[in-house]
Amino acid sequence: MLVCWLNHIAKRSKMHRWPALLMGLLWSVASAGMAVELLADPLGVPRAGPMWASGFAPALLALVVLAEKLAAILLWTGEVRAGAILGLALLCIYSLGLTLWPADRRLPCGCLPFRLGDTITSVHPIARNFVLATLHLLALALCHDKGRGSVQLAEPTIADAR
Amino acid sequence: MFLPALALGCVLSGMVADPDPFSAPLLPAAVHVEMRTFVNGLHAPPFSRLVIDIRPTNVAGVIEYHRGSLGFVAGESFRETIASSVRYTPSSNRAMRTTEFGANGISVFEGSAGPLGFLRELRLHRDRGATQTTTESTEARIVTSAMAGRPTVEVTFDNRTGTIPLVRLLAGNVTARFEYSKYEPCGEGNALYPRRIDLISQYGGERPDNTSIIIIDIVRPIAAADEPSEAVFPANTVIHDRTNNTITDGTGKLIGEAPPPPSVTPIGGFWRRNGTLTTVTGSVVLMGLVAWIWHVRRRA
Repeated sequence: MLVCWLNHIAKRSKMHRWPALLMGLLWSVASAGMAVELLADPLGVPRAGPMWASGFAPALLALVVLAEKLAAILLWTGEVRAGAILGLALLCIYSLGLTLWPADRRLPCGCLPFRLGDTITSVHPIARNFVLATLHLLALALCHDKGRGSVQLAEPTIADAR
Repeated sequence: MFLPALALGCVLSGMVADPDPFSAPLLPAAVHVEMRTFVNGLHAPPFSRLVIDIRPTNVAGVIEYHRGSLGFVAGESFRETIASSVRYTPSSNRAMRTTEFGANGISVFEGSAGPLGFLRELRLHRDRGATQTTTESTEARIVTSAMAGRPTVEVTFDNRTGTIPLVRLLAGNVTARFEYSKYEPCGEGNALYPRRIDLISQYGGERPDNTSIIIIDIVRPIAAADEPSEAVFPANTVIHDRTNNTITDGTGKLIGEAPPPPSVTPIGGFWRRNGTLTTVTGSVVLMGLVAWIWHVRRRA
């Protein structure tokens, strides 16, 4: 009953788009943050400090930046299934990496150009990833459309109708 | 007849007089050290210079940081004894008086100046009944000392050279390695002192996060029983005494009470202790909601 009502409200208020747009924003910020970290020396930007990703090859980090940017674009353009799956894959890779090469939980992953506060660092990074993964699944569930891998996030315009 | 008696005497004397487990026979008792530090990392300025007098019961010195075209600028001076530890920052004209040195047995500046401070720390841990274990082999003796509230200290004594090649500090998944090498005579009998120190800190795993190379330029023996001269401050210095929580000026005149340290609210404390568990629980609940939404939308 509650879920049906929430579903109804979500449909009427276009709330079903929000998780996808929010996750798209997350990946957009993450890719920009890592790009800044990657180009800090050539751009002359001061670094925020050591990060978990700092030890990896720049080419690998550049690949991650592209994947994050692609996830953001997919989530924003309505290709929620592909975007969410790519986002989930990135979160899984980060969680696996943290398991293989554990770090102090205060170390940011490398996607944010600043240090994380105590409120966030009190939570284990993999638990943080779990929250983000759940939000991706929420985006996927809310935007689920039978038989389609994409949803229309924007209202059709008169020009489209023609 | 004489040799067996001598051997027996040696054995008996060995049984009676317990040798100091923290002795490195070729290290000097007290030294004046001048060194240059090259930091590869972002936790400290890349170049600094440290001048320090290390004695069995006190340390004193000054650290200078390289500030671009200004060259080396005095960063902090320190005078630490068992009774009180004073650190003064000239740039802000502020000083702090604590009992850190007496409580920890080692100055924060000392590990990167040689292994002597760690021997003092081991002795302090022993005197306070800390858990200490020794692993002995023909080549090395490793003493591990764990005291509540302090990183575990692991000192490796090289039995062949009588020196200390390695000290590790272990705190959670953070490890700091102090590698002491290039031991050379320091002007006191046959005593040796390292000329190079590699400081490597790691956050879990084997990947070093910060590496510092310390080159020791000058080492000379000093009198072990001396006390460093009293710290003198300009009259307008602000001195924070953390022992009795007061703020005074350079003449000792009381300016006021120091504000209390930031307190943690009950919610903040709960979150610090149970943040991960709460987050996972919230996520599981959200995951249930996702599954339900999925189910309902598929049926619709």
